[in-house]
Amino acid sequence: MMPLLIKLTENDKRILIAICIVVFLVFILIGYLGLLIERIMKRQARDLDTSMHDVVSTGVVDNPRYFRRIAFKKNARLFYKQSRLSFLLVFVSVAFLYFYLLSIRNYDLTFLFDYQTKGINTLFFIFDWPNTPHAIFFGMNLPSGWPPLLSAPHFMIEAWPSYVFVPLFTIGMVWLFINIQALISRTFRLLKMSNDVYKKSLDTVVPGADFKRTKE
Amino acid sequence: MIEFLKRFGLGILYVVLSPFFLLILVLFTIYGLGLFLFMAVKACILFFTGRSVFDDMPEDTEAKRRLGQLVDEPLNRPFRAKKAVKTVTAEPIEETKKVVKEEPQEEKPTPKPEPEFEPEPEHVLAKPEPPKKDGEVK
Repeated sequence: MMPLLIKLTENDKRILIAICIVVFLVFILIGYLGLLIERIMKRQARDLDTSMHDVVSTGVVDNPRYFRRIAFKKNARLFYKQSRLSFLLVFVSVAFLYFYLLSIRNYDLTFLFDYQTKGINTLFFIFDWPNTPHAIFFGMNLPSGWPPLLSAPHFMIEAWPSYVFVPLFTIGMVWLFINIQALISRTFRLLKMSNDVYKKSLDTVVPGADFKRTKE
Repeated sequence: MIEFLKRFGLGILYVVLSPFFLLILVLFTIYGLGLFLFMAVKACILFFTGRSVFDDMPEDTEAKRRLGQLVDEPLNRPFRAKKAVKTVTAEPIEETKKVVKEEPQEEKPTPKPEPEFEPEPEHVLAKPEPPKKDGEVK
């Protein structure tokens, strides 16, 4: 390792440090992304607290097994309630595409991502990633510049089926995945709380506090 | 700096555990799709029997009954008591006092109040003395 470092020029060392900093920042970014997802999931899990609070506080549900049974049912209802619209979006978009393909009698779906005439990619910048300029650093072939531009955003009237299908389907699927994330967070929450709610601790107990004396 | 290092460590951990997260997500996606289809079929069946899949569960009804009973009596909140479902006859609470309505009594002629003595103001009582004449002997 040491002979390799000695061989490095000053410029190479700077690039090495820059790469290390970038990697460090990427991992920090992933860490904060994880923190964000964790917070969102905690917030989503509160829906279960709202629906289970009364049945627990009134003593209707009085043991962990019963808690889990009721909580799973309520979780399923919540999921169904939240994801009806997202399912509808996905269903409508898929049905639209199906009938469009039936009408043109061509079942090739590659046109959806075409960037020249018929696809949704006509609305985006498209780069020629395989032809990205490369340079060799420390024997490694690394990208050294921005790739050439293949297509700039432009509106094509022939691409209207893609403009309808892709946004509807994408919104529906993203919404559905958010609901599935909520389902996961509520499931973990109910499994945790089913034990925690009925757990008794000796750390905080006051001897005789719950014992009521009766008249002799 | 410690916070950044902590996030850096967690970032590495998330990258290492990401296949497991993905696996959980895929499994729950399959479970969610199945659950949605099941709930949709159930909702259709319940719809044609005049019920809804979002109706209160028996446990919810019982909880509301208990809450209603609690809210009705000691706190005496009329706006919530309307919502509460009463099924159990409530026993009177010790603190509750019965209000006895008094029967209307015959009206007696009330004696007229005697007029109170009102002292006249001083400037009326005190008469002005006559002016003294010169050479008058008392």
